[in-house]
Amino acid sequence: MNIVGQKNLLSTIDNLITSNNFPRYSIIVGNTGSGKKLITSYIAEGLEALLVPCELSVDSVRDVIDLSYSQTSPTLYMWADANKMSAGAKNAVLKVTEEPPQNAYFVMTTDNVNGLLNTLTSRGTVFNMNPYTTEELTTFAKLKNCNVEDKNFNTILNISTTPQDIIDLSNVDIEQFNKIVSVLCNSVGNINLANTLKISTLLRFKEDDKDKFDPILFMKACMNVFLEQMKSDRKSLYYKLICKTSEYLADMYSKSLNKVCTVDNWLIDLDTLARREKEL
Amino acid sequence: MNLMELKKSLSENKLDKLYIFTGEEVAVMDIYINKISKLFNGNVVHAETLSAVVSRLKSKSLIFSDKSLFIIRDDKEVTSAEKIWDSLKKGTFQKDNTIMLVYNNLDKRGKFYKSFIDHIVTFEPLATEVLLKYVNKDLKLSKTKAEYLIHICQNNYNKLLLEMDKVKCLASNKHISDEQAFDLCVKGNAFYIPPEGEIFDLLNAILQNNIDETYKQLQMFVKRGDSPLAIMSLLHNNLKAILQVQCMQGRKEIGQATGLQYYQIKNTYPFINLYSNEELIRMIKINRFCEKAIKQTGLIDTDMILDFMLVKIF
Repeated sequence: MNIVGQKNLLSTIDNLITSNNFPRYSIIVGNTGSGKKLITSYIAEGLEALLVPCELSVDSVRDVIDLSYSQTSPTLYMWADANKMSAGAKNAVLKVTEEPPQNAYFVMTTDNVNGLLNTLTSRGTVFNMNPYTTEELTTFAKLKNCNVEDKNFNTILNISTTPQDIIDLSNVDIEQFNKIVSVLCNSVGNINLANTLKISTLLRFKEDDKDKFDPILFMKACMNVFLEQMKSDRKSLYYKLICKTSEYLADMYSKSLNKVCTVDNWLIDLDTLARREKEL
Repeated sequence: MNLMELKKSLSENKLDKLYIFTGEEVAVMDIYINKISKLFNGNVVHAETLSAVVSRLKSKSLIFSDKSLFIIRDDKEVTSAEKIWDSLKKGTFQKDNTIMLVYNNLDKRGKFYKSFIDHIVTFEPLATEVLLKYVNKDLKLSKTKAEYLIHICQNNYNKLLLEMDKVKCLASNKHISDEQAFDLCVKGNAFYIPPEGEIFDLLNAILQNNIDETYKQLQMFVKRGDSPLAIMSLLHNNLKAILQVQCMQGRKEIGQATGLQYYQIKNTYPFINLYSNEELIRMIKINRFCEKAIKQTGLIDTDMILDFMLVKIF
């Protein structure tokens, strides 16, 4: 299996598998799009087990557990995004982790380990995904046939932190993306607020909006431009814009908050800060 | 599929592999569910989710080896799990079995509704004339009183049965006529009268800067048990649209400049210039603070959030 990066994690997994000590129940923690499912497939391959992705509903969890006791060949059951499980489902998993069946391995993947029960995390072995280096992301992009010589590839690389980010940005019109980022960052406060707020209509808030831009990547791209502008004579303004953007970026990672509302408030705040600075 | 087609197929003893029932008329829906259960020559199983049914069918459990009718109520998972829709339509899971999905409410704009339109039977409220026949069958009431009863039950047969039962019980216990029992019920507020209005009335009152109307609508809103998060989301979208249109006042091609659709721009016209741009921004910020207070910081209880928000706004 061809996996880019994650050398330390893979070597830990390999050691555990070769010494026949791979835990029956483990949790893989990493950002969305960082390759948690791929690592799970890698583990299944190493254990020569059948990989079974499972649903998160409490009934499904109970069925899987019942089934796992009657398996005769090694099977790895995976619950992706396990933090989304209901409390009932998590408690159902808890029971099986106390005394796992002979041929079963259970793997939970999550981007937020705090979303699981403390009792679940303490019983399992937690594997943390390592951050990707620029070289690793470039290698991944090459594997996915992205044109790394393209003048826009640097933008993609600068704002991507996971392989999924690379895939997302390779699928959109990156020139248009750069243009909008540049218009917002260089003209905020000088253009009408109505125009600034229009930007949120170009961002993807529903999975169906495939042609639109990912709002988090868009905010990260703006952050990069603000950082570059720190060298200019409007240093104090860009410092404030960076602080504001990082505050809203943190909110964007919160699953419960309304993302449209977060982006609109961010745009309004950028506009207000830029206008205030202009008045001074 | 409409109700007449369902009726016809049942009269011919024809059963489908998949039924999806929805609508407010629960009592009529239950009549058809019972009818299908009786016609179905096999087990009738009430399951919580389709995924549980599918995994049990796949595992070929002995308990479910007989032909079964699976009745699943309000399984939201199915409406978003597009992957299984094709198999569900083709009857791959079902084999000899029948699956009946029952929903109180299905979004007609949703993909699920559009995709399964041929299988969905909607149980709409019955017409007043039809309901009058049901009332006349059980109670001796004048046409005006019967029509009033139907009106307060919002043409819902299920609610009507409950209210008719009250009149019947009172009449038989007090040995009085149905008319007299009906009058007593009206006098003693025994009939349930639902709170009037809808979520948009509260929204409009806030956007119109009408404090008295806002608090009147807030009372109705609380009585109806509507979600504060729903009004907050609507309020944000409307405030933003008004702000954008106000910022573009006197200029051409508002739609192109703001990204708003024509109907969204038109909807903002009654509310233009009732608040200044600064006030609108302040309201958007308050709305955001309240959302975070419920979902993130836990500063304010959900039950109190609208009171807090409105005090801050006005």
